[in-house]
Amino acid sequence: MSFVIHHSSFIIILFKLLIPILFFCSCADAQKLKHNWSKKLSISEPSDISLNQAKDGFFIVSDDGILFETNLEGIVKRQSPFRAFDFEAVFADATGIYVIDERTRNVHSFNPSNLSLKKTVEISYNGGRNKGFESLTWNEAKKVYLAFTEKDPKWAFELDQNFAVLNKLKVNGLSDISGAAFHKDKLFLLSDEDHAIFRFNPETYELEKKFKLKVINPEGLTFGPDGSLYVVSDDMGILFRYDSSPLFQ
Amino acid sequence: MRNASLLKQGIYVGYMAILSFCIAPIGWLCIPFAFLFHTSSFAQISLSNGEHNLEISGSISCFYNKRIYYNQNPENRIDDNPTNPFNKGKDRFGLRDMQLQVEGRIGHDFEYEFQVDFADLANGDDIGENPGILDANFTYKALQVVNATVGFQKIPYSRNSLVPFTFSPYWQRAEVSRGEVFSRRDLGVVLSRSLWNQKINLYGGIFTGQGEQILTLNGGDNDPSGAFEYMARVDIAFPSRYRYRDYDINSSPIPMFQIGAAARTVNRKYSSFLQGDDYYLRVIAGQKDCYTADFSAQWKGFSTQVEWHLINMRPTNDIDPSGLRYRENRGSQTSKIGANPTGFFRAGGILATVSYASRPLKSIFSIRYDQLNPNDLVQDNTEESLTFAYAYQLKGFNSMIKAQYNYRLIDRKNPNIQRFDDQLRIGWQMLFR
Repeated sequence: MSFVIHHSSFIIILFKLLIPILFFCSCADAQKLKHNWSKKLSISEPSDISLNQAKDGFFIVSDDGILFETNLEGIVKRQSPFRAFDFEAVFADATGIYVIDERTRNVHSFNPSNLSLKKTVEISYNGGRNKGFESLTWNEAKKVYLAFTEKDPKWAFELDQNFAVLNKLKVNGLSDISGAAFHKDKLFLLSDEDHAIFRFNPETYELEKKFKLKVINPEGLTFGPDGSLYVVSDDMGILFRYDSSPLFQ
Repeated sequence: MRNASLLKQGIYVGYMAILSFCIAPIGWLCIPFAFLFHTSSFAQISLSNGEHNLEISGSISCFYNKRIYYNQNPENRIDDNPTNPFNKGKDRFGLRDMQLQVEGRIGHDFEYEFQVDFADLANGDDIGENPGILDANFTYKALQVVNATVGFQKIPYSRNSLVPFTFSPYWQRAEVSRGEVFSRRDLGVVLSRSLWNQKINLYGGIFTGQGEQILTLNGGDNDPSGAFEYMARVDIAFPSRYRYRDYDINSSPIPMFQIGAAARTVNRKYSSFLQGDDYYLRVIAGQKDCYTADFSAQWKGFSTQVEWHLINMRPTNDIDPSGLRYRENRGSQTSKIGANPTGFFRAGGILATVSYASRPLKSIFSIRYDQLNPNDLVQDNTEESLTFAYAYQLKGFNSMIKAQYNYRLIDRKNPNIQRFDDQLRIGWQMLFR
């Protein structure tokens, strides 16, 4: 009690200083997205997600280095017999299923029929072990694959169809990159630290808009067969679904 | 006395008002200066052959220290002579960190880590709180039930101790957790397991009980009894995994909580009291049982931590081995002190921190209250302090200017120790990680 009496004057001064600062900081400008469905996953530390080619489920990878296939409700249907170290990026298209191991910088391609390993190539990168490739997607506007490093620094690697590096660009405007997806002529990047999705121009990579998420540690995003947005949280182990229409306004 | 107290309070309020207004702009003023040295990337370097990944990182930090003396203790004066001016030897620049860290992952089964602080290696006097070797351990992960970490490592006991120092706006940990009343590192084995998507963490460990001194003392020998120290810790988080970090730098959109508890026990029968810088409690001869509990929460940039410590000690020898460092009677089975003679005494305290981290302002604001009583048998032996910290993040934690002002609320009344009243530390840390 004596502490409160003797030092109350200073605490009042401090709060008078802090309150306006904190008020200033709380004036967020980004639009907030609210999920309309969520599902607790049985996958440990899910780190990225991509719609499968049949459009009836998702490929989800985990920090344990395992590739899973789920239905649209996130129920695991099968998993790859191949186990690597730290899968952080998955992307599926008509040519195959591609997964990046952040630790080894390897891009693994898998057979869609049985999820067996088909081929492995390496994208050389000497950045931090846990700050390597976090996301992979196809940029239809430039007809290249895009692999993004997480941070320190945030690179976008433009890759050809054999995952050879064509170009390397710095990405600005967000704290880190934890996921990427291309949809309706727009490039969307997910930031774990900002808890937000950022819409970019896929030709110029200029930031267009930011959307806040109420999710801890979002690590992957994709678009469902009906255009819904899906976000997977690593720390929460939950798959969230959102109406994606605000993303295109 | 009343006037002196009011004067001190006035000086204090003045200091803090000036500091509150001035410290933050220091960060802004340093921006142009920082650009001179600013590199575009602070990332650590990693090498991989597809199976073995090796990562190199490190840190450098330097601060200016200003101590403010009000009391008339002779030890605060040059040559301990009350007629001499205050000894301002501690108003100085200090090289706190010059660290190199190498971490590796080999396949699925092995991880290793070694970390050296060359600044502390050069300072051989202070082996306790800041040992030159910080980590030299490896983890075997192929066991089905638990992971086993073997070697010199942080003891997973105090949550505050587990938070890396470089992720803090402070230049010093709280008195109760900075490694003066219990050892923070030791040689041994820790078995750990995480459950419920890493929301529950379990630890059990066995150590030499010598703490940091095992690196140097008696050539690394244990107590002649051969006794070990045993510890256990459990913490539970909700609604997701909660890393050992104190500041909500990512402004969590959902409230996050963690509670934890830990205990450790050792019975050293033959050794004398061993070193400690201020309290000589880190490692004692006799039975020492430590208990701690902690709570942590964060939401939208705000965060708070509360940590409580209690240490029961039943010493068998009250003679300090150096003969020079013994400053207060602790009591023992043969030498009783206090109004109620007893064969044991207690130490303990708490720390409580409230912080706000703002990405737009690139700033962390924090206030910490800490309290410590190193011996409950000694009257007026509780010290309390309030510490204000501000950090301006030029590039996150990787390049951060940080300042702390330590205001002593209540001091211990031991006449034999050099005390300072308040203290300011301001400096810069740079990490390559």
